[in-house]
Amino acid sequence: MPQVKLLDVTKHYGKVTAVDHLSLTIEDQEMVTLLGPSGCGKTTTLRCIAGFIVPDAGHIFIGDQDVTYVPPERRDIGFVFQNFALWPHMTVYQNLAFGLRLRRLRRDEIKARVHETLALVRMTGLEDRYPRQLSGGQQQRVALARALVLHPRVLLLDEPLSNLDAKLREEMRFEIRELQRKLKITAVYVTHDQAEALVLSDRIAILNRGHIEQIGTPQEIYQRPKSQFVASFVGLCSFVEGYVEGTSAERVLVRTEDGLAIEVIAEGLSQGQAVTLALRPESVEVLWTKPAHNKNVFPAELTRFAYLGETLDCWLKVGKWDIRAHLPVPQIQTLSSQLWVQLNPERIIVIPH
Amino acid sequence: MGIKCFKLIFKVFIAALFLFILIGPLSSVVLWSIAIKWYWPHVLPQEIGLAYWKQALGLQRDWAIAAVSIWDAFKASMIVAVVATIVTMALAIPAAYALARFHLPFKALFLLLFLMPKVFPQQPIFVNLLPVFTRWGLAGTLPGVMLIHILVCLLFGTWISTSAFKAIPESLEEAARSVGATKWQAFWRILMPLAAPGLLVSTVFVFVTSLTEFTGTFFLGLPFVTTLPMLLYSASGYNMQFASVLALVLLVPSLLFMIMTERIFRPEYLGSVGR
Amino acid sequence: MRSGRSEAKRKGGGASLPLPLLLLLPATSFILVLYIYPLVLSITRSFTLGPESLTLANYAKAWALYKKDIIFTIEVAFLGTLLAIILGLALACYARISRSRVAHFVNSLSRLTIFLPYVIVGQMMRSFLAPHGFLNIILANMKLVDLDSPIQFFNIRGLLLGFLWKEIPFVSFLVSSSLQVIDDCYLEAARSVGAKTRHVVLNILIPMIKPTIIIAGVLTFCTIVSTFTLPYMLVTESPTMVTVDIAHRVTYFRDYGVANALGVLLYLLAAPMAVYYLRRMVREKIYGY
Repeated sequence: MPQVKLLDVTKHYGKVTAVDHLSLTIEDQEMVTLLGPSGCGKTTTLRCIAGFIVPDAGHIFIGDQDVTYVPPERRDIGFVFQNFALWPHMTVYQNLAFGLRLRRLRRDEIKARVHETLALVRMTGLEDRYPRQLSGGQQQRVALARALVLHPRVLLLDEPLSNLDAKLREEMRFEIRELQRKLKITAVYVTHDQAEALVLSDRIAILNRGHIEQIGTPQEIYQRPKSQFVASFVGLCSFVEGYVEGTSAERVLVRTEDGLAIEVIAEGLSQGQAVTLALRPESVEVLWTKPAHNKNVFPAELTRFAYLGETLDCWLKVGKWDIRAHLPVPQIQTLSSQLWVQLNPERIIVIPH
Repeated sequence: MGIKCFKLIFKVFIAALFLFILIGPLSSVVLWSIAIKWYWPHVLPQEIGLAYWKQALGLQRDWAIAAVSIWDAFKASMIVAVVATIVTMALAIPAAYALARFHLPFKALFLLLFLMPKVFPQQPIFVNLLPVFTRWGLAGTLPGVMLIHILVCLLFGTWISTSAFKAIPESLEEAARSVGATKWQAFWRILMPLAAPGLLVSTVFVFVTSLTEFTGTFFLGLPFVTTLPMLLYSASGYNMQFASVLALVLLVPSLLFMIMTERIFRPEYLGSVGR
Repeated sequence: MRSGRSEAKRKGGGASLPLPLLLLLPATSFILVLYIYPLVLSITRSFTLGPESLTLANYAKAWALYKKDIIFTIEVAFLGTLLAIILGLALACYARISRSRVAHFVNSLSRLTIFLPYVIVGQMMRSFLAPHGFLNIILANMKLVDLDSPIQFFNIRGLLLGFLWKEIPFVSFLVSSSLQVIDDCYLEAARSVGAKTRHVVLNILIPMIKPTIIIAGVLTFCTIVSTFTLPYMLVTESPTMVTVDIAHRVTYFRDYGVANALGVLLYLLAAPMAVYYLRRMVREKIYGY
């Protein structure tokens, strides 16, 4: 299974630049997710890899082959569409067999491959059904099977789960990931759902306005986002702006303009440097009474809360900043407006400007 | 590279051939209408002029030029078309409303009745109406021709109007009823204004169909009623130029209709113009 | 007094016709008198000869006199429909798949012909296809034809050309609207499994619009069988279409028996397609629209 390489790929639509000098390498047998809001260029990029779109500039390599101008039917890819795109006038069997027949495989070979792939997606026995007779989840599996039955070099998935309901989406995530691992196939996955990206990927590429903001493993993206955009796109995040006041070993003191002094752990910062602190709910502890010490402890006012079942989602005002935190629910009867927050320096994300 | 070139040349050739076959007959007629002298093997007429046009429009009278004033035939066509359109729409609109909005007993039978003329040959109908019309004193008269035109146009008038009504959601009339309007008021104040564009298309379509109708008029209008299509047919027997002028004159309403209704197409209905 | 009025209302309400039927009455009676009545006449008269009212003599005579024309009509109808479907489909599919503006332009331009009545088409074809008409002259200038023996078109060739001139764009028009509804993703999915253009057209596009293709074929066939104007203006040799023979029979011989026999034969020719079409349309309009 070869790697996929995009080199400086650019695509314009009129005045809009959908993909802006994008370079990306997907390693052999790796599953990379392109994640981002709508309009960020992730689908356009995927379709360039597939060949449905020809980029205005740049090159795309599958393995050693420059496929930039090769039509999709000769790229040996498998594509899974958002709306499944199962041919309604063909049965499940015929949908899968179509590509195999084009390659002139023998009847018995086609039969064997189709059954083998259907078993892989757990759809055995439904060969003679028509797509309209299948549920959404079943159609999705058949769409996946159709892409896999050809043993393609690369598997491309365009938001395949967004047409399914929440519970089904969760189940299918794991199935897709396991299939990809089992078949050891290089895959590129496009989604706007960050939970999906975190579960499925070896690496995630966050796209914004046609370029990659950050690429890394799910842990890197979540725990060490390099920009405010990435931090807020994956996981919940509150932001506090300040500047570096003092450094000693790894401990850095950040002063906000309304006078709060927050201790964080970071390296390579200089005195006076402006930074943005990203606070995930797990770095914020809500306290009912003022603790004895005052390191990273601040008074907070509860402005809003929402009952989520297992936690209470709270919006707190600390100084002039809005901070979001989660309270374990059993504490609900002692809720009062005046609370205290304690920030864990080890969990605060520092984004230098 | 060579194959790509060849493919391109092939495509251009096919497109050119296609365009030629499409435009050829049209240009032939245009050229003939302004030709005074045109002998083969010349590709273009040797002498061109507007004599035939002028003669047809009654602006001159030269016995050397075999064209007659078309105004009488034009008048006849117009009168027939106007009356036929009015009567057709008067019959079609209520029928369309009934078909679009109500659950009818024997609906299938009515649908059948209104659909049959589209697929069964109509000529035997005209042929058999001839003795009937003769008995009733309608053969070769203007009212007789009007009746035939109404018959031919009723089909399209009804179906296009039905689509026009069906396109408006019933909930709009129901909303009117819920604030106190009667069925009649809901029809006039809600449905009709909204369906008006579609009904207009239907009316224009019926009008154009009547103007260009030939077969029925041929069997039942001869020998006294001459409409423009009849004139065209007889001219095509003895004079190319005059016939071409007439063909172009008759072209105008069809083209205008097509331009006018670019947006409100109903393929199966519109495709059956001008049998 | 009040009770009297309401009683009258109740009585009146039960006895009068429901509104929809009333609305349909004028149009329906018109069609019954001016369409169904002569239709019935055409069938009964075909079996009438002189005093006898149930004889096949007319049919025998019709067949004896016009055998060649009947066969000719069948040939032209089938051939014309087949060609119209194949070429109309090709045009529409090509315009659907290709991005080239030329294809779209040609496709839209051809729509022009759909709205021209056959009487105008007849005249156009007469001038275009005449022995020394436009086409022959142009071909002669390209040295493809000798004007002393030009290509004769006032026969099946010209007739088919005339019919196809209108019917190919018509089929393309009908088919195009169905093609527009097909989402691009089905075509892309086919490409992603290795299908080239011809595979996409034959295996995906065409099967997905089969019903529309059949309707287009039915309408084209019935049109060709029923048209009188075009063969009347264009075909000077024998054989010609049955519709022309019907006209001759009536105009020159006043022979309604044979004319109607020919008419009934035309009904029978159109019948299978017509019945299929009517059944489908009625079902569609009653149960779904």
